[in-house]
Amino acid sequence: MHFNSIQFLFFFIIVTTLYFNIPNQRRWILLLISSCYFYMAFVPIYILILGFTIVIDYFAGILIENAQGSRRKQLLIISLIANIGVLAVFKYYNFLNDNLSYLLHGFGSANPIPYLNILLPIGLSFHTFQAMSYTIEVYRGNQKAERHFGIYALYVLFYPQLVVGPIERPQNLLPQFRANHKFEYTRVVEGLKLMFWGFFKKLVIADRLAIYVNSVYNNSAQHTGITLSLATIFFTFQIYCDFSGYSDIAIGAANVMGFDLMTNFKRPYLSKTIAEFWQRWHISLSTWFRDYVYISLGGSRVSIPRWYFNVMLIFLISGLWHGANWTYIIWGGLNGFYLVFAMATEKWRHRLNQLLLMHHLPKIHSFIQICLTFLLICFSLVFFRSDSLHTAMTILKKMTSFKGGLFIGDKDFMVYSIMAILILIFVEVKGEYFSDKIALLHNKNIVVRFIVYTILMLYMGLFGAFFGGQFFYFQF
Amino acid sequence: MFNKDVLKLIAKMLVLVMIMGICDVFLGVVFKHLLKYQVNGRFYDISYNLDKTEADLILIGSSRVQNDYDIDVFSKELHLSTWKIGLGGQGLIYFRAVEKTVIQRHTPKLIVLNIDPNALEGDIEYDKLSLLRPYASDHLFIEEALCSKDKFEKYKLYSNIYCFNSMFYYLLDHSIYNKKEETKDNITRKAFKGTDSTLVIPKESEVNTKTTKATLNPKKVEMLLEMIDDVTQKNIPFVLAFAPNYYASNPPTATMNYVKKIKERDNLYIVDFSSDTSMVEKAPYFYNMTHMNQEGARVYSKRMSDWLKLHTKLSPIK
Repeated sequence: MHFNSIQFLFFFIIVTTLYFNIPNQRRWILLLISSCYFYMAFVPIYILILGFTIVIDYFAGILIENAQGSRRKQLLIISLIANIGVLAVFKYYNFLNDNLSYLLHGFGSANPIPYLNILLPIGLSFHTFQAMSYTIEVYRGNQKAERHFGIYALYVLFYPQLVVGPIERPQNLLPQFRANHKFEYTRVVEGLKLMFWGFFKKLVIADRLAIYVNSVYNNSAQHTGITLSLATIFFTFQIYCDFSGYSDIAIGAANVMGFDLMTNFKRPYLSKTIAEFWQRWHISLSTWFRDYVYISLGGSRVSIPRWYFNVMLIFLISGLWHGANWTYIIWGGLNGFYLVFAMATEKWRHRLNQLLLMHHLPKIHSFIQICLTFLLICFSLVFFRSDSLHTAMTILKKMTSFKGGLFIGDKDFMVYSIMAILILIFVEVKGEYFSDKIALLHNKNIVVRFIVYTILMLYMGLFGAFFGGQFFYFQF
Repeated sequence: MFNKDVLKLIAKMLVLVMIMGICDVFLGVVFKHLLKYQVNGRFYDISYNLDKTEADLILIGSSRVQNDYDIDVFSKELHLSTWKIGLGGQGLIYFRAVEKTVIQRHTPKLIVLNIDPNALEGDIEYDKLSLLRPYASDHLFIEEALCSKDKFEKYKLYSNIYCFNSMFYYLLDHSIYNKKEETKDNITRKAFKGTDSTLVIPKESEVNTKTTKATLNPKKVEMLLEMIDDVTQKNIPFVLAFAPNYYASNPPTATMNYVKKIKERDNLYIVDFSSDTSMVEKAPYFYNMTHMNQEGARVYSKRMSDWLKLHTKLSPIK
């Protein structure tokens, strides 16, 4: 079920109303059934895949906790293989097979391994990672194994964050299923406001920008460098509003019922460096890789070359996590390269800034840093958005020449798109630098608050793109 | 069940819903007024198509009709008043809704439907129908087409804000800012949207030569057959035409194969110019790979008119 559907509106109202009207000890049943229903609204049969990993990880958690010595590690590895195995079959099998075919073709032989005609279960990468974090935390002794099968199943299936995260940790989420959440007016209103802002970002900004981006990227060969550059900038805003919009709806929906999910985005396009960007973008995934892979590899407490290798490896895996395509791997590698380059040239850049007297102009310096970081992210997203490496390289080649005019498309859509970006920039800058000076949705005066609600709702109704486009990250 | 906080939340929600309801009614009045007083532009054209056109020959189709069909040539060659009700990017669902609306109030002497080579394949273009939402309340067939999208659509159409979603710019542009009124002459001129630029043949690497094996969408096939029934049963000659592309479709698409096999019947004519050697691969006739320029449109419209004179039972043809 898509968040941006009428069905979800009814689903949310019914589930939330029932939730606050049944005894606390029975609420997990309601949430589990409704979460299954939510997931089965996409492709019902795929609930069995989730069921398989839930059973494996549930028993793995208990067995790991009861085991001693090397057996604990063996059990963890079995559980990880089961999870990664499912991911490998559904997400990477055909990708690996394609590459094998390409390789064998180079040697003049045909690939005997058949191609699997299967659909990728929605959100598989997200709930697999969440399930893996549970067994790893039990293995590390940070989390007690959950004995209640229903509660554990709910940890993996909890509908607000089941499909596109945030990827939760068991220490944060599991205890909340047992807590008695009462109807708290302030919390419910805050949750609803967050959901509303998520819908606004999705419908008014992301889906609106997607119209131009899709029309250009789907016919990239016919567009000029300047058009492709504009479409890339639009895509940079689209992907942020699409993904963070979903996160806001998820966090808000959970918040209404009394749950606290982790923050997933903190105004990433106002980052001054790539390192800062990755601390503000898809935080639940970045911290997952940091906690479970990067630190296991030794993190930064190793030799410098090994440290750089660790960073590059994390970003390459992160790219592969996003999608089974070389474009995602290159995108990840490019971000890893940005970081390694920044680490390797830190002293040199510091001296250059002093030479340019940037320490006397901190605001201008910050502005330049934000713009440069944004442009680097835009550049990397060409790979993220392109269907193939060949297309990405053609687009980049075209972007270096400014021959030809700018494709506008529908004039009105372009006007709405620019308005949408300006609204986003206003809200992000306000939140970052003037959060305590201008209060709109949180204004103490109820009349002002209602005027703001009305304007935003009217704006959404008049300028939102109600085409029912699915969330970009569903494909991961 | 309802404690004080719940009631407070419900009360505030209701106030918000009421405010939105009032705004919806108010904006509906404003937008309908703007729609009524469009003096040119997209919505003027749609309103004219639905409610006013009384042409003898009606040309229906997407951007190919806008570009490839020169109505002056048809009028001159066939001695029939000609009008086209094409709109770029639209598909069969749009054409059927508009055709039904038009023939309900007016009986043309001939209707030509230009079919895109993949018109019966892929998903139905429901989203592109949104331009017709403002007309749903007054036009039954438009409402029917819109409501076929999903079961909630008819409820959404109660909202004026929804009906006029994303239309603010054009409504204002052609009623307040751009007040130049259409005369009968420039309606005719404007309806021909051909361009005088010429195709620059792209490099081989930039041409998408991949032919995907698309299958027919049964719902689209059903729509086409219904359209044929609607028109032919009213005794109006109905022509299904394929306009030329720069490259001929080789092999023919599933749509082309299907249309050519449609059972013969009175008043139905099928013509395929997509491989016409006098036009395909002639760069001076095209401005891009799928649309003709003014010169191409003139040549094609003449060829089409000659064909119509020869094959259809038009009257009066002088």
